[in-house]
Amino acid sequence: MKEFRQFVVARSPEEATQLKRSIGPGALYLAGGTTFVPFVKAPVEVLIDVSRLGLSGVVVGGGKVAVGATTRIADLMVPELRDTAPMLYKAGRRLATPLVRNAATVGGNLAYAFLPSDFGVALLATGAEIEILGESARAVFIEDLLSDGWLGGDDLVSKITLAAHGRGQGTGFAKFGRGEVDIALVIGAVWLEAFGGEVRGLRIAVGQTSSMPVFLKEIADGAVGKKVTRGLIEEVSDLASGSMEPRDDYRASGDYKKNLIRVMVGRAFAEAAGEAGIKIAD
Amino acid sequence: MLIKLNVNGEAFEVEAPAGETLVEVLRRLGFKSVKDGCYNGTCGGCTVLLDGRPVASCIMLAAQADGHSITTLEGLARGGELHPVQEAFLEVNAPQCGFCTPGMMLTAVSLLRENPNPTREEIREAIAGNTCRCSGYVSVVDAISLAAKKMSEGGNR
Repeated sequence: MKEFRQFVVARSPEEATQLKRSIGPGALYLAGGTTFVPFVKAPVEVLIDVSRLGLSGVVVGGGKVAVGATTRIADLMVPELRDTAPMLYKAGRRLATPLVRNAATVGGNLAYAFLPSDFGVALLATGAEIEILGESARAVFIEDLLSDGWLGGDDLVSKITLAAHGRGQGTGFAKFGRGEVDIALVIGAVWLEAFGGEVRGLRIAVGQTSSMPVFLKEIADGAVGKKVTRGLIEEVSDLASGSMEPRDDYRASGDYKKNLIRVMVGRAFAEAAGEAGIKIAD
Repeated sequence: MLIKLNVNGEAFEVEAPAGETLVEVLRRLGFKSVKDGCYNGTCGGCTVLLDGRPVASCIMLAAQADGHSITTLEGLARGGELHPVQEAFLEVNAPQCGFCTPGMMLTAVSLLRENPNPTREEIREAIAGNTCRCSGYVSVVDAISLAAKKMSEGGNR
């Protein structure tokens, strides 16, 4: 039994955000609850169930993939998304176990972008646009949301939109931890666009090493125009690792995580290159 | 709050505090096959089918399941006749201590509905959330393979 005092089912996004505004910090949105229910020990005044707002489902079309915030992770693991949004497919497949994936939602996982979130990292690497409802309703690119201090107030994530996967593009998602149900030690996610074996666009995100996912924009931009080689992958991975100072905690030492950042970014980059159809030369 | 659940085809109305998890309510209603194990969604002992899909009922509040259909192990046998998955588990002696078995069988039922002829690898992936601390996975995979065979050969459900 958890110390949750009241459970309210919101029937519309307006009702949910209005309730959140009127109660304030004592009220929290609840979607799948697979992280929240087991791990929150403190009493909570009001839980607002946002899983019945009609915000579930995936729409592919017009060069975009739109995912409703309360879409279950298991519903991302469909053949259509393997082709049009491979990063979502891969991140979904590595998230915990089937039992969790049948309940956990994409928006819920994203909103908790601090440590346990895998999708914060995956979506940061793919450059998703996040639609938010509430008083400050807006659509914002995920890296801007991150630099603006993430979500607050009555912000309710309603939709996540990605550009559909195109030719010459590749994605990599490398996750390392004790086991699949545990919070990973390090996640590296890479999105690559290449032409003629050269980097046209590169996005790198690292997760689980600090309180929020980290977007390594300068390191990625520095690789644009270079040929994708084993040497470039090593150079980028070293820079990524060198730019971060993960701290020691009960899960692993900072040095160990620093090395894992190098390895995970390298693996994700190599996977993305492979998916983009590049044969990596030394 | 008052919660309406359909468990194994039977309608229940139950008063549950907001913080009560689904496993707690189901056990209170007498569905003791639903095991309360780790309470953090890791072990899979509390597996039930929610609208046909396996979920960990210990990391879901009962209130979240309001209005939904739930299948527990008690709902698999019909009129005294075992489900082919249950028969298969018996035939290959898949349960050891038995604690994980209800969850394993429910996950198997859901898998075989979606994928009537799974490979051993697909079976292993499907039961990844159901931990057997006796580590008797080989016989569990054998049992699910056998169940698939029974069901494709004209077994019921």
